[in-house]
Amino acid sequence: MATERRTPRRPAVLALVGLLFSGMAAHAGTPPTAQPAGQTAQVAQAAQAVSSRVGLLDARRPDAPRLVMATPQPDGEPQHYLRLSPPMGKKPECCVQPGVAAQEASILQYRGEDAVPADEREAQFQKAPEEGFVGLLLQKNAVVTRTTAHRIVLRWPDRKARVRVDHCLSSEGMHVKIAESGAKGQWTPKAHYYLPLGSDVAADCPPS
Amino acid sequence: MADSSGSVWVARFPTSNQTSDLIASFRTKVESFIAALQAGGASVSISATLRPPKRAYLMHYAWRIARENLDAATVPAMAGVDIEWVHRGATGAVNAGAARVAANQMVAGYSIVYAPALTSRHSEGRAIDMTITNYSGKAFNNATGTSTTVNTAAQLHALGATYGVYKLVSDPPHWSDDGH
Repeated sequence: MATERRTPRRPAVLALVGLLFSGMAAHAGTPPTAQPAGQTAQVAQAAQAVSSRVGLLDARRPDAPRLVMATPQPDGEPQHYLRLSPPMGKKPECCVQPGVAAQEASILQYRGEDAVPADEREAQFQKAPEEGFVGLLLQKNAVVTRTTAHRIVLRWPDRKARVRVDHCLSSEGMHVKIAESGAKGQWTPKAHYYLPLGSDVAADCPPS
Repeated sequence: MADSSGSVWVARFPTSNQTSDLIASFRTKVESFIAALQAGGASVSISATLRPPKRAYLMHYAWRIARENLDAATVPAMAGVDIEWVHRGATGAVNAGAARVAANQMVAGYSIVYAPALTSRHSEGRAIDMTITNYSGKAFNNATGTSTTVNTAAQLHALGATYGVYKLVSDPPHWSDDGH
């Protein structure tokens, strides 16, 4: 199994340096300029790894969906989603709203060798789908390219880096692996989720 | 009298999370392994043991009727499951659409999104899903009573193997009597 741990990304460091310098300028006598809340949010968003824009949505029960996000979003911030389980979605749909932390998590996340309960949240659809499914959470404006039956590549107009999502079934669960492209074209693992399905299914994961 | 297929069946034959529902030979091994883990300070959370074969049968054929257009009349009977998969209208004529609607209710009730298998180690009482945490760096007795320090997942799996509880690595919570 691949192991992933999040590491600070260069854009995050640069953004923090920028914020630090802007703060120093203010203390040095430059009149402080109030940053609009929206602008602050944009700076914060730019500082995050682009892979943090992708999460996992367990909507097998559309009336009680659960989700996991790499980066917690402000409460109630609607998230788009893309269906993974058949029939697979071709483009993101709107929207599901994250709620409070789930009392009992069923989704696991790999931390090193171990798969431990993920930071799972309850959620609510703005418009409940008719059938249950498993999907990805995506921040808005994601451009989706399905390269194989088990691989999706995502990009956003404001970011150069791409996100690769590999998904497959093992004996009784679904694996979702998220990686982010680097400057030299390499893919860096960012997250690996496991969703127990509650029954045995036909496995299609490649041998690891 | 048989009950027609539909959501009423979903709550019947629930999945167990009790080790007492495993087959006797595996139950002994699992309980010894868990006792050793807990004695050494690890935390064990069991999510599933026996998935009754009757439940697997209901899930499997509900999916096939709902999503694969299986003719409800062709579903084989199962002893102890008095279900009527075929639905009929007021005149007694077969209503395939009603059978599919009822099967879809079951699929939704079971939260199925991928075709479920008819048999598995769980339905045979030979597997357990459990999440083991807080084990790293701690000492546990193996099946022969020898204390061994466990630092890695591989060492944890090896410890389980001494009890006859084998890890299926592809599925993090899954352990069984043969690793499948």
